[in-house]
Amino acid sequence: MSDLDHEIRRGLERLTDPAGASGPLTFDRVAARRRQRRIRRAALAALPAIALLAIVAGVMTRDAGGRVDIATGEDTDVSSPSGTDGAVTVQRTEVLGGDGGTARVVMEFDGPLPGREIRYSDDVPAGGAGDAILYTIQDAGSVQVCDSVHSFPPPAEGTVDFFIPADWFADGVDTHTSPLETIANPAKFVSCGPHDGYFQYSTWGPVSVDRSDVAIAVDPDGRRLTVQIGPPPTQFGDEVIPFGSPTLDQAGADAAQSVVTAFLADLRDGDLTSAAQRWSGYPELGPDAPPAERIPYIEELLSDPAFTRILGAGTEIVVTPSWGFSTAAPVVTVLAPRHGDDPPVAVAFLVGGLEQDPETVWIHRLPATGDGSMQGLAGSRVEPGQEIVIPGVPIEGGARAFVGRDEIPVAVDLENSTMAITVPEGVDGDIAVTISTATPELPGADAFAVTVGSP
Amino acid sequence: LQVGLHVTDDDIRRFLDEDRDRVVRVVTAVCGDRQRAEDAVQEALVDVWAKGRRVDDVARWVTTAAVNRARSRWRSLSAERRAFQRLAARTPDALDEAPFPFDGRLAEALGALPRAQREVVALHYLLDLSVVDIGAFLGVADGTVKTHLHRARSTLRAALHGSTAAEEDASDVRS
Repeated sequence: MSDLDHEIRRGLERLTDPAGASGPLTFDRVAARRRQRRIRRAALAALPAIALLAIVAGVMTRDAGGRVDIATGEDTDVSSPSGTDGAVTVQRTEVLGGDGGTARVVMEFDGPLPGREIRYSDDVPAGGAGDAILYTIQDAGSVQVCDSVHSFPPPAEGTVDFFIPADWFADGVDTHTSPLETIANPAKFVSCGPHDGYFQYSTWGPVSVDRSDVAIAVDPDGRRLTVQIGPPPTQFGDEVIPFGSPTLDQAGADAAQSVVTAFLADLRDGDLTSAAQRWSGYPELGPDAPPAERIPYIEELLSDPAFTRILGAGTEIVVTPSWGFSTAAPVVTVLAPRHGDDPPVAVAFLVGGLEQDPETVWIHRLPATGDGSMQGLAGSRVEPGQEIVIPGVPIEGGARAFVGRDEIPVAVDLENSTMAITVPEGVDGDIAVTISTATPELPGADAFAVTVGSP
Repeated sequence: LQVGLHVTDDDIRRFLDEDRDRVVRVVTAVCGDRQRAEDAVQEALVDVWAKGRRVDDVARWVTTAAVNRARSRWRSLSAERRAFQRLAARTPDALDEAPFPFDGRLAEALGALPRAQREVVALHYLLDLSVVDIGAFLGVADGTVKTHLHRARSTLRAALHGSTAAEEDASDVRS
């Protein structure tokens, strides 16, 4: 180790020396917090002994068959509930976002549910399975999801949780892998269980958690459960609205396209200083980093042969909304069509800064390159109806996919950390597929190009 | 988290006795705020213990969780909203504009480093992690770690001695 390394190490140790800082963390402080949680659980159950047993039981079941629920980062048990006659499996779950949070959840089953009764519960149910669907409301500051307690920051006020008796499900059913379709940016939808006799479905992020705002019903044939939060869905519509409030308006899309077009023009002109000023520096650099520090990242982009394809003639640009809650940053996708032996290429830019002043629009994320991108999928020939599996999953929330400007469903497979789309009917030739994923910070965005149909 | 044992009280005591101070140092170096670092470590520790998580290495898990907590003051929805509000003001990362209250040349240089470089420096010098380990820790390529470390050392060298990048190039970075 060099003298410089020693000097830096010593300096860092001095800087971070705890002497004089606030009191050290003690075991008692941690233990006190844990006791508070135990007490809370006991209060929920109104019987401390049962509550403690529930905790122990939860740990034991995770040991037996646990796996990770990526949406929550928690272990979730997938061991089979005991089967019963007439038990069902979940065929599909649809979660619809609205202005202010999740607006509606619809679960479809392959047969009639064994029971139709629905009851409100003042708390998360504890103490064993029941014979009815229960629902409750939890405060955003303390959201109990099976064995875990989460919090959810403002403006959300809470969650709506519903519970289906575990023994209503067919033996061996894993509800976590049933298809989940998220539409118009619901905040977060988490499932877990079986726990205390129920599978829990937690709908995060309603701005209002007034019990009177929640309507839950089973269709007469028993095959469809609908949880409606807030106004009826007619206010939002069943259609995806890529450029409608609250996702992205046309002015924002136009501004985003302009800044990317200007950025590409700078690159063609060799004016890297100007190009660098159109990029925020996120996430590598601080906001005040001078262009000189940003230019190396631009040069790295230019060293990628796939990226430089979009600097040629004949490119197409489309703007789509990214994953978002009440706002969605625009994603500008640039497609360079197949040229001779060169396959088509598509790259995506996440653009920001639209809300306050269109004059300050800038590129927020540069396109990913090399191994960190989806370019490994590029250039394939596919057919309508063919499924394309994409590596990666959203860290929180969901994902959106577009072919050109048209949004298509994307299935997120948390178990295998992949997403899948199906090439829609009616498209032909070179197409750009844009994927945006939710993260705890700003959305991720990437794109790739494929050719639909035969040469 | 898929593997490993549930954390026991003894694990927590051992962490507090042997590792906690080092982890707080790392998080302090990353976020520039010892109180926030202590809070982040404590929250991570409570999380790993109270939720009955299964982990192989408590210190490593708590460090990762605490750095993540310190790294981002925003989560989920409010995070996104605040972030968009910040975009127009050209402040894409709240942490990068947070005050770094320590005094001295090294502190000023450390506080001026981009967040990613600061994290790499803290993990390398305070936890003695190799480039490969840091890459695995942060989920980035080894080359990215080397680049961040190289740039950070150049900046810190210049701050301490006013030396050039060429001199820095001559230094060896353990990988």
